[in-house]
Amino acid sequence: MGAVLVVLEQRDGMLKRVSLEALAAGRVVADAEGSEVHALLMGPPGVSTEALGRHGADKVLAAATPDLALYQPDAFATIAANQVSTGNYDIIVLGATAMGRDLAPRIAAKLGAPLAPDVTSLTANDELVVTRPVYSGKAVFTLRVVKRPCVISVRPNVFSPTDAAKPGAVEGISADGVVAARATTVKVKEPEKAVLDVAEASIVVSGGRGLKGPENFHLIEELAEVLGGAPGASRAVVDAGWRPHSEQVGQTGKTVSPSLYVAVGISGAIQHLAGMRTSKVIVAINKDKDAPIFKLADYGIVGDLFEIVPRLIAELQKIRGN
Amino acid sequence: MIPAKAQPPLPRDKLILSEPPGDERIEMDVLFVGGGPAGLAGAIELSGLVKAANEAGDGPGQISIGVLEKAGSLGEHCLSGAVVNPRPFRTLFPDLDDSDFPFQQPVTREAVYFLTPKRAIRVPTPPPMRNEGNYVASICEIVRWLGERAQAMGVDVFPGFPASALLVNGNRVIGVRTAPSGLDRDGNPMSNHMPAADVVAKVTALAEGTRGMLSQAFFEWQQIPSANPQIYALAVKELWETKRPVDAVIHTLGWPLPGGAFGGSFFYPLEDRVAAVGLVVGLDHPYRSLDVHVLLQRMKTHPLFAQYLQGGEMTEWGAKTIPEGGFYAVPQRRHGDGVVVLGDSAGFVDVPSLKGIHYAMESGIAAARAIFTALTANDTSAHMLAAYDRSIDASYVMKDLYRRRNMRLAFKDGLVMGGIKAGLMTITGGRFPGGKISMVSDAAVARSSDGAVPFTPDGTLTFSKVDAVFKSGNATRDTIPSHLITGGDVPGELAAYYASVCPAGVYEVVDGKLRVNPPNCVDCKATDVVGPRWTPREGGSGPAYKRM
Repeated sequence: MGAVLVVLEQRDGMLKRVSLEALAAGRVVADAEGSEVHALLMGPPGVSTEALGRHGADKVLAAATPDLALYQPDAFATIAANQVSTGNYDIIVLGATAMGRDLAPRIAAKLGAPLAPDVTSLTANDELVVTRPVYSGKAVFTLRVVKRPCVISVRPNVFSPTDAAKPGAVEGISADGVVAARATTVKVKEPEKAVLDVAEASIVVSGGRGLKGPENFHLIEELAEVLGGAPGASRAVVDAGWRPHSEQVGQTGKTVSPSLYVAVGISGAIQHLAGMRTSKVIVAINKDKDAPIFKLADYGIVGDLFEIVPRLIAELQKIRGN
Repeated sequence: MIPAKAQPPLPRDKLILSEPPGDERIEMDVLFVGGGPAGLAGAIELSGLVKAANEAGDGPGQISIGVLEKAGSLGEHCLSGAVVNPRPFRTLFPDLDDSDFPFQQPVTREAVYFLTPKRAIRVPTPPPMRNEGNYVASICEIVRWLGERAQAMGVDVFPGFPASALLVNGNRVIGVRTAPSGLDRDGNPMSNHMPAADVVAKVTALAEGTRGMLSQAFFEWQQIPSANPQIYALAVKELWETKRPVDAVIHTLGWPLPGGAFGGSFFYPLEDRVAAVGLVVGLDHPYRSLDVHVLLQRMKTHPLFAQYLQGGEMTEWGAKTIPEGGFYAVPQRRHGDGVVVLGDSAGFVDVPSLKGIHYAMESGIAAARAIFTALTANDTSAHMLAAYDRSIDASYVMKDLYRRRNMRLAFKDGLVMGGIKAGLMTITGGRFPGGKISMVSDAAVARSSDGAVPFTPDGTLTFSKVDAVFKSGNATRDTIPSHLITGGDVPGELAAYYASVCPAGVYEVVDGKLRVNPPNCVDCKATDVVGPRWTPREGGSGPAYKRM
């Protein structure tokens, strides 16, 4: 049986949480097949690997050089593919983040291996079966992954880091020669007119399940824009894949306390309430007058958001126009 | 017929969950379960202690304090007489004056009457019932006021989220799981479904009120005994806009209660022409058909009441049980690892003086002090929280209860003998007759006689249960899954007994069989004492009391 190679992700020298989640997914396969999990860290020197053993890494392979501080598509794919070719690996696991979505197909292509992207569940009894939501979560693919080696990327915030104490001994690997590849990342530039981060915005407009589908979220974005705020989302719609996790407000997403919080079509799960209760002024729009969000709201509109929000946008645009 | 024989057991496996909390858990330092006088007083005292210590530089830092409340809004499930002893308000708010507290008016005149079917005979006010220095108030208003104070001090109050189970790890309570909402009658999620959420805390303070489910489960799980089983009374209460002012706090004994039942009425003026009228009857009576709601309706036709109510309007109706066992029914330990039990849930009610609100608040304050010390020491084990029990045992709460330890219990021999004994107990400070009068649980009392009196409500002075439930503000949806556990096949006679115990028409006998109407339930817990078990259900269900 070949081992499992988990490709870690770091930013500014800190491991991202998704790395531990990918380790947990890798652990499931390794435990089922009686093999090992090796964690591949590509980054600058000095990234702390202390947590990896606790969370299921039998061994840590570290390619640590300042040249790998930023994500280098060519170099990362080459290092990972080389490691798979020289070692004995059956499964490669990554987080389906912005980096993982780019890197996973590159590794798969270099190895001529199958790719199962954006996986939300995984079982490894006898055979490897994974699921992935498609069409904004309206349907679920179940994939049986037969060929080895294969590449899997796991959706962030789905797998929980596992408490499995393993040696986690660090072994350096060489990255010589691979960084000066055909193209390198020189700099990561923040977008100038970035959409405000929900955790930092002084005005947040959040949408929930009451919007009925991701196609209606333009209402939230437009209302946020006309108010000069950031769009947010409830956990239910993030779980459903309508919105990215970066927009989730709530105890497990981002705790916010803006000066104005507008909750649209959000009934108010206790986690959500816990994540936004310190907002200064809370406005709720919901068709269910008994929704818990109204207990916290300073202003509440009971009604159909598809009527109310467009009118609100139009009125606000008029005011801004003047 | 002995109700206990057919009573389903407490569903402990659903109320105590020994499993790790979910990933989406909410983490608090201290969680009060129940936003009544006990929980809110505790939350206020604790946040005050934390703030003062932090400002002095030796505090525990940021401490998150949460309150879960099953009612849709604070106060909507609270019901009491009420004549309130202001003592804990003064402790909690030393900078405020009595006139700042949410009371209606001080008690200036009071009278006790013994009723016969036509007459009202004034009797001397028994000393424990004297209310000089106390205030007439609405517990709903008190709780809303306390809730505002708590929130202003940074306490997170979550109305609409009932706690449905204790989360435990070994012997330690680590938090609670809330009840899910948006389930259809068969328990399937509907479009507005909200799953259960886990709230974990270093200390969980159970302040669920009378007959708290998690509190019952905790005492049973930890095998904590009390000298006597807890006994309960059922109170049914109405709020009236009266035809003319009621000018005294009035209590009555006697008619329309049958001789074997212990209880009495209260008639309290809240405003010039607003008064509360209610009847309280112990559930340890021997009657199969005694119906407290119907008795209250009959009582209002007595000239003493009718002269005020006839031509007026009933504006609110409600019902609630009262733990009446007193000193000997208080569980021997009201704390454990990571947990304390407060107020009515612990049985802190004094029947002779008809009061419990000030004890509830006092227990909240005492618990807050013990919790604060435990948090500061970073040790919330039973060893540290035992300070709460010691503090209550040394306080006026247990001293009052001890002095009157046998008074309610003496009335199991009827009103006359009970009255004589109670008088002697007052004179001797509880030393007569000494020892302990033993009691059995209400459900273990045989219902040997019928006791039914036919009654037809007139719809203006007297009301049916259907009209009554409407006036409780209960707007629970019809499609809610049943939260009541009946004991399988219920024979007709037992079904009829349940129907007479429940003041809200939840139980009916149809074709000799029991029919259950769960949405009618106003959470009084009466049948949980003697029959079908009550369990927590979707937040915001049940009554919506405004000034009860």
